[in-house]
Amino acid sequence: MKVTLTESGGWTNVRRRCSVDTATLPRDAAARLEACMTALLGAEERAASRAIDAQLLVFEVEDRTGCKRVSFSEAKPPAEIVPVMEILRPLCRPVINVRG
Amino acid sequence: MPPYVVQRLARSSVESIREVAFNTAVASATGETMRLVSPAALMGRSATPGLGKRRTVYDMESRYDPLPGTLKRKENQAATGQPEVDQAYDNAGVTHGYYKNVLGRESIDGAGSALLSCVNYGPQVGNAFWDGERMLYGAGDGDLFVSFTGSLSIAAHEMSHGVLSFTSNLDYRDEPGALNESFCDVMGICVVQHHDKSPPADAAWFMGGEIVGPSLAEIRGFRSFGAEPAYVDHPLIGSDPQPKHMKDYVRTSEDHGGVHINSGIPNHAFFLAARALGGHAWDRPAKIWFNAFTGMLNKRATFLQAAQATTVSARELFGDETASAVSGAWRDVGIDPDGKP
Repeated sequence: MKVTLTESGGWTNVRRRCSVDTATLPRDAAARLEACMTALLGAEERAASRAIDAQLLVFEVEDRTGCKRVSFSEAKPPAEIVPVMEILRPLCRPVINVRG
Repeated sequence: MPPYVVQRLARSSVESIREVAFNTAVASATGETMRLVSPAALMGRSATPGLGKRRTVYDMESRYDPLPGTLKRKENQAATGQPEVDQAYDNAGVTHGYYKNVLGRESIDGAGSALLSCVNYGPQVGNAFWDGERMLYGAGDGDLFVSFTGSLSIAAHEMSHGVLSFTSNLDYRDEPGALNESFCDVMGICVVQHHDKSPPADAAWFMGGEIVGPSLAEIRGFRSFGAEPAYVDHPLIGSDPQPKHMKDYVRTSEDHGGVHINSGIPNHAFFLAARALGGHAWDRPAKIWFNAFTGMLNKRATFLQAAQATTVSARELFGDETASAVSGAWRDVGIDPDGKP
């Protein structure tokens, strides 16, 4: 399973992204991330309409069954997001803005 | 009834006359591209002034929920010694004071609403935002960003999103969204300049330097109002994407249509207007922008309508010469207030 997280839309306007291929992780870590992502993909996608300037968290998952995409406002994320963010957020790096 | 008459009625000291203005504004709002009075603004202006500050700060302790978290400090309580809590408390107070004493607005809703802040929101969140009821501040990751409570301009920016939600309620997408962001930046920088008491020539025109973490240490902030970008060719984040002129307007589906990008254009117009007018940006220019953005624009306002509204606002408040300086500033960023959409 390949997991990509993109964080965008916050005050700093600095987008951050990380991609993790669970095939490259130790077996326990891979199983944990895959279980967390499966739970998150089943969570209800929702936008917090009044929290206009909260970040948007976009998850893309590729596995043998295809590609799935789910997004959440960081103002009102589902509980299933917490373990995923604990794993992925420290791995996220800025996306370089190219001017013009 | 002509909009300017409605606007005058809206500012009456007599409640029944304000109510006539309110009802007229509501009745005439349908189908208009721009109205001079926002019903929500009128509701705010009819409030009883003099309620004072009512600040409360909670700590989310790196969790997303349940909001609002653990109560840490209420109005008139002593400092806690926890920097994020005390910074959020102090910055809310400074911003409240600017809105009240300079712009004549009683808190976020215009009616003395409580100022609720939640610090340490979520795990290493690199952002601050207004959720419709309160300001939420992330602690950052300690590498790119440190705690967002350290920035007065960001606190004022977030509170200003609240102010707009009770007034023009600019749609958070494309041009109205960029105007929403820009107004909040403008108020953010004006609160800082007012608080710093620095002479106009030394005024700060960069925002967000206080939240820069060690990996970005060499940048001065994330927003620049002047012609100079906030950062250029940084090895981690590249270059400041904000344009300063309409010819460079960025069309994108990300970031709600580039609201944090294209806000650079109206931000630069404010900077140029402040320079042209002289004196403190937090005084005449801020009053013009505040009057226009909270009382003259509707939720779908465009950059052109903002240029027109600020020009009208300048003329109303300070006369033709000031209006000419404001319209000139907009023309310099590629928007002619006398032009067609």
